[in-house]
Amino acid sequence: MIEGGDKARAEFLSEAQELVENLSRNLLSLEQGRAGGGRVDPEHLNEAFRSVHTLKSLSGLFGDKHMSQLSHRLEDVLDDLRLGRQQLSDAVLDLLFSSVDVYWQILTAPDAHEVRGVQELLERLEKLAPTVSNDSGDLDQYEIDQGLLSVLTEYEEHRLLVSVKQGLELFLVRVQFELATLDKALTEIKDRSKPFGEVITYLPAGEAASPDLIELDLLLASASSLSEIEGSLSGERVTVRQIPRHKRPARSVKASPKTGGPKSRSMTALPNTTQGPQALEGAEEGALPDPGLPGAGLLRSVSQTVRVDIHKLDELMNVVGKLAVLRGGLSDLTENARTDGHRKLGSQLGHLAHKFERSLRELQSGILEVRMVPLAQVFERLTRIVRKTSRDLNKEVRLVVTGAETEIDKLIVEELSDPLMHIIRNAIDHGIEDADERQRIGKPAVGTIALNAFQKGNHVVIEAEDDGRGLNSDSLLDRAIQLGAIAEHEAKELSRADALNLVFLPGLSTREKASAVSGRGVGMDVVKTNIAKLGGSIELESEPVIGTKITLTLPLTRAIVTALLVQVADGMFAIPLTSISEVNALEESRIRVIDTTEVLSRRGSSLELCRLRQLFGLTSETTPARQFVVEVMAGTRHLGLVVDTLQGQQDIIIRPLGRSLNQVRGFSGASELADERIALVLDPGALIDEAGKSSSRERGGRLRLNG
Amino acid sequence: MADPQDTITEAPARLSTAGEPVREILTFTLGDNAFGVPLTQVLEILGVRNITRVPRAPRDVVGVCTVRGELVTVMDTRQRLEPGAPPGKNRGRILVTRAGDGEKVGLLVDEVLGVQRFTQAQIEPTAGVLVGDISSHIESIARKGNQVTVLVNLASLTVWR
Repeated sequence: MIEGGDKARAEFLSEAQELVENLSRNLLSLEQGRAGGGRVDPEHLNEAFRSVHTLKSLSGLFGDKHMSQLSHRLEDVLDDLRLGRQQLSDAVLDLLFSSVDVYWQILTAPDAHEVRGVQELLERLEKLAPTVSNDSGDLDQYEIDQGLLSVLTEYEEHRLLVSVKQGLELFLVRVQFELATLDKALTEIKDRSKPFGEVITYLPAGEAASPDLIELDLLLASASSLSEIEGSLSGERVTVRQIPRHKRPARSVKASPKTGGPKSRSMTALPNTTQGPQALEGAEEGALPDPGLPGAGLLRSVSQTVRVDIHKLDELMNVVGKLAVLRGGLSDLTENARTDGHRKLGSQLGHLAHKFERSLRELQSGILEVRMVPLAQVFERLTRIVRKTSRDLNKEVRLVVTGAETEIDKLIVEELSDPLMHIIRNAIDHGIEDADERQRIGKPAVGTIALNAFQKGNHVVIEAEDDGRGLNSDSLLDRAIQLGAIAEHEAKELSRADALNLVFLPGLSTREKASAVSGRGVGMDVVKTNIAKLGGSIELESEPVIGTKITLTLPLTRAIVTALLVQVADGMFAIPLTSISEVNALEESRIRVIDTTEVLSRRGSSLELCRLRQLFGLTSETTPARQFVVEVMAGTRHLGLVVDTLQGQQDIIIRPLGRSLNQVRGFSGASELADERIALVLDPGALIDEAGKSSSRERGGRLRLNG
Repeated sequence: MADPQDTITEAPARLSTAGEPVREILTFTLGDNAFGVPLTQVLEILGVRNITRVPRAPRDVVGVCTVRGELVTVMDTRQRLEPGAPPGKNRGRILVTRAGDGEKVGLLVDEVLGVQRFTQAQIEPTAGVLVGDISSHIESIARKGNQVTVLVNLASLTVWR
């Protein structure tokens, strides 16, 4: 058991990590915004600022000196940036990214002394002096209510000035919300107005039609016309008014930014207008989010979030498993009651069992849902790696991500980080050519790596595709021959696809020299093993000059899996439903033997068969008159498993076999069934690999693919 | 607690009546021989339950079973310590212990005799005396009168090759 102090420290680390990730994500968005036309979404700056702000308080709380100093300094810089006192230049952005790296060091270094570069970074941050001064002159041309201007925070004033300088029009959007759903409604209208411009501030207008409603004025800066905004924001209780420009110069707002102007109509409901929006907290309208920190509502929603150790969810899932066993007992009891003539009791029990079953399912899916997290978590780390790796190698690489919102089990996400990192680094190091070479062969100078994720049934598919030079199958073959994995005459017989698969051989690298980035050939076999451990599969396609595509297919979750139970001789086995494509009775007449491999021909295609009785050396006194073929798949490869009987479906919790059984191929674990028997869980990917291996061996003589 | 020859089932004591340190050993049989493992390393003793055979497993693995939802690999201790001995008459017992890497391993034995306390003087090291595969699993031999108990090196026994 970990002590309280350690536990708090672990919480601190995990929260800090999240904040740093958040900071990094927003910096990347800022960089992309700048690259894509110069428009910088101020909300990203705010988010970054908030992350650092929270990091500052956290590190203070935990007495982490490095982190505290860095956060302190960084907060100032980000504040300057969001208030427009500092220009967001490449140099500044680089410094900010270095800060992220230093944060990671601090968070991962076991010892504070091992963290380097903090002092240097602090000094460089220190040197960033404000470069821009605010000029409020442009504001004079609008007929803006002075009362409104007087309550703007420094940040809001800055945003207003930026908008006006860009020549945007100003609008006053008057909305009425129900008090009860204020937070939600406010977020919604901000989102809806986002495509048109920016909500600079919002203030209570105090003319609500009923006590349950609150009326707000939103100050919106936009390039769109009045009718466009009206069109999109229209709804009951929304009116949009354009703030007209006038010719005569008005007095500068800068002169009295916070000294309180004349009371405006819009402010009459407030007890004290001069204190600005921050004073609203205690006003009778109820708690408004602090407009000084847009999105402060976020802080509040955080308090409704609970951080849970994933293993606690595993424990809950175990309880679900035990309940399932109990449910099995209840069903037996029901059956007994019925057969013993207690019909009424039986039907009552049956009713109860049914309800129990339904609640159990709800509980189970509830726990599963909690475990699901978007892939964005791991993709963001990859974005950082692309940035760093491409810089280190002096290559220009663009990462295009789609489907980052695709959700998958938290434990799987954690384990995906390393394999994906390997794949991406390989793509940049070995795949993408340098800019000169790319241009010489007519490719765009900037290489592209596309990362696509999507859900496909009960699987999540992740594709990593680069437009680099592709794999060289000849050099793969050469290396495989050198390693002694294949003989020269076998190499000639291999198809290109088989040759490409050699890349998954342990110890194979096509590079003569190891590189600092992706190392020497420890990559793809480890990637394959790790993906297989997650119950997933990996496939590789590659065309010379065009590029390489690696496809990972992963189960949504490993916590609980619906499986088909099958019996082979006296053994009970479970096959995850997600990897089953078809189940049929075995028709012996359709089996053909090619070399020594049994193949089932059907509907124009053929399916290689694997008799589990033979594979596992299982025998029983009676041979069943009739057997079944369970067609399993991993990625695009299929195999027909021949089993004796089908025993129905069951939700199972897979437990890994211990170290002692690590060497046993073909199983991904074992599971306790509802009747307390144990079923071994088959690993279709491994079985398919094995079948492929043995049939290749028979064809090619001595081929040892995949070790 | 007067006679150290007695099988002791009470809470373990650290010192014998003479004040010497003692080792508490859980003793069991395989065939005709008595073996022992340190009591502190045994998590629990189970009656033999349904053990599921694992195809293609090493010969000295009986199979897997579950203990309150947790998977335990059951090892055929006989294969490692008494390969020639005929199978026991009883259904046997499983001693659950933890291997070096944290994996729960069950040792299938014929019969559990009880807990015995040995003083250091009663224990003879076997290093260099025995040779062969089995000897690496044997730490020492404890003697009390005519009775010989072979003390097993659990760390070595639960390593899988």
